[in-house]
This record gives sequence, structure tokens and C-alpha cells, in this order.
Amino acid sequence: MKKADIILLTVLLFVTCLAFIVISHFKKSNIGRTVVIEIDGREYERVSLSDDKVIRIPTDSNDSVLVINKSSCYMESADCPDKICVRRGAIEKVGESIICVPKKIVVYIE
Amino acid sequence: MYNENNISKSKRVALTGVMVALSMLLSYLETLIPLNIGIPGVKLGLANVVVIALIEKLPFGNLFLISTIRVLLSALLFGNSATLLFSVSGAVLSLIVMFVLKRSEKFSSVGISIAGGVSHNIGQLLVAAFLSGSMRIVYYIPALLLSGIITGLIIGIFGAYIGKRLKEV
Repeated sequence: MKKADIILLTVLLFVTCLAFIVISHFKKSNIGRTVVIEIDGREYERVSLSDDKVIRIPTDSNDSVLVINKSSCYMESADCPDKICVRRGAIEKVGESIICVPKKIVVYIE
Repeated sequence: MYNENNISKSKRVALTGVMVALSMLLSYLETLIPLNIGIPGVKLGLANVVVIALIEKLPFGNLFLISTIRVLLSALLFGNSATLLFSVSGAVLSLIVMFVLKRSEKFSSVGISIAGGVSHNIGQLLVAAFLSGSMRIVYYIPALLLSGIITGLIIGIFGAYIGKRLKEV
């Protein structure tokens, strides 16, 4: 190998490392952009996962409370008998969802 | 260094034909080696050994012919129209890059091969991005760069070694 070959190889390896870092960073920041809340199959609200807030989801009786905190969200309380949605815990990745069958609420991240 | 008077014209034509056949054989051989690591577009590029081995011996026009005819014929025989488009774009870009590096006379066959491997993958990626219209394909860039470097290095070392042994062509 000549000197120019070594330089070429070094530059290419450097570019590859840089690309790995940039892409993995890009992927991370791309995970879980928005929270979508659906009630009875219809979209109710769409919120960015980066804003911390508390959302009251209206139901026929007491409201269910969804908390968005530190790029993840969880159902804090719900007025359903089983509380499966509350026990589901926090979701943060694209495709994860919280589903409350009795109240027909679906919360998912995209 | 290559010298125009080294090889007579008829010998050059014959050699080009034989090398097309040889590189097609290598292309076929490569389809028998499953290098499936879950990333589309990653392959060894075994047929490029021919181009690298002959880079000092044949004018670049002949190498260009060997490579493009090989790509077209092996796509017809072992591939499909989609792989043809990817292979042709990758092959043409890598040939242009290798030609430029060869002309600069600063690089050895190994360096030329690495640049060829990387640019082949970049060419494919550009066509894939254009065809799918999706920027999601950029996720493949690091993997394809790395595989281009590794396969280019392997093929370059092999090709240079074989080229050295091919004093008498």
C-alpha cells in the first residue's frame, strides 16, 4: 500500500465512524415524537412527547389522566374497574401503546 | 505502469472477452456464497478481482467494458431488473472513481479497490433512495460504507496479488 492508500483508508474509516454517530443520534432523537390519543377509534389529541404535561381524557364518568413526563407517558389514573392501563406503566418508543378497553381509549406513540 | 505497446490489439480484444467470461463466473460463484447479514446491498464483489488484477495491464476502456458487460449479462442470467439497476449504477460510479484514482497515479491497487467498493455501495444507495423516494435509506449509510471498505480491502489485496503473478498476459 502507498501513502495515499493509508490516507484514503483513514479518511473513509473516519467518515464511517462519523456517519455511525450521526445516524445513531438521529435515530435516538427520532424515537417517540408524538403521542396520539384515540377515543372510540377517533383521534382525540396529538401531543409532542417532548412537552411535559398532564392531559385529562374525557370519559362518560370521571376523566382518565395521562401524564407526559421526560419523553415518556403513562396513565396516572383511570376510572375503569381493572386499571390495566395504569399498570401498563410508561411508554416511550414508537409503536408502544396503552390501551384501556372499558373506556375505549388508545394511546400510542408514533 | 501500463504501456499501450505492451499488448497487441487482437490480444487485448481476446483478453477482454476471456475476462468477461471469468468475471461472470466469479459473479455466479458469488451468488453461491450467501453473505446474508441482514443489510441489503452488501456483497463481496468477487468479480472486481478481475478489474483490480488487470488494472496495470489493460487500458481503462477495456476494464470498463469487462465490468459493464459482466454486470448486464449476470443480471440477465442470475438477477432481475431491480438488481440490474442497482448493480449498473454501483458499477459505473465505482469504475469512474477507480479511473480517477488510477489516473492520479498516487494510489496502489488496494487503495483503488477500497475506493471502488465504497463508491459502488454509494451508487447503489443513491439509486435506492431515488427509487423509493424515502430518506429512511440513509440509515444504511454507515453499514454500507464499512462493508465497502472491508470488501474493497479484501478484493484489493487478492487482486493485487493475482495481478503480480500475471506477468505473462
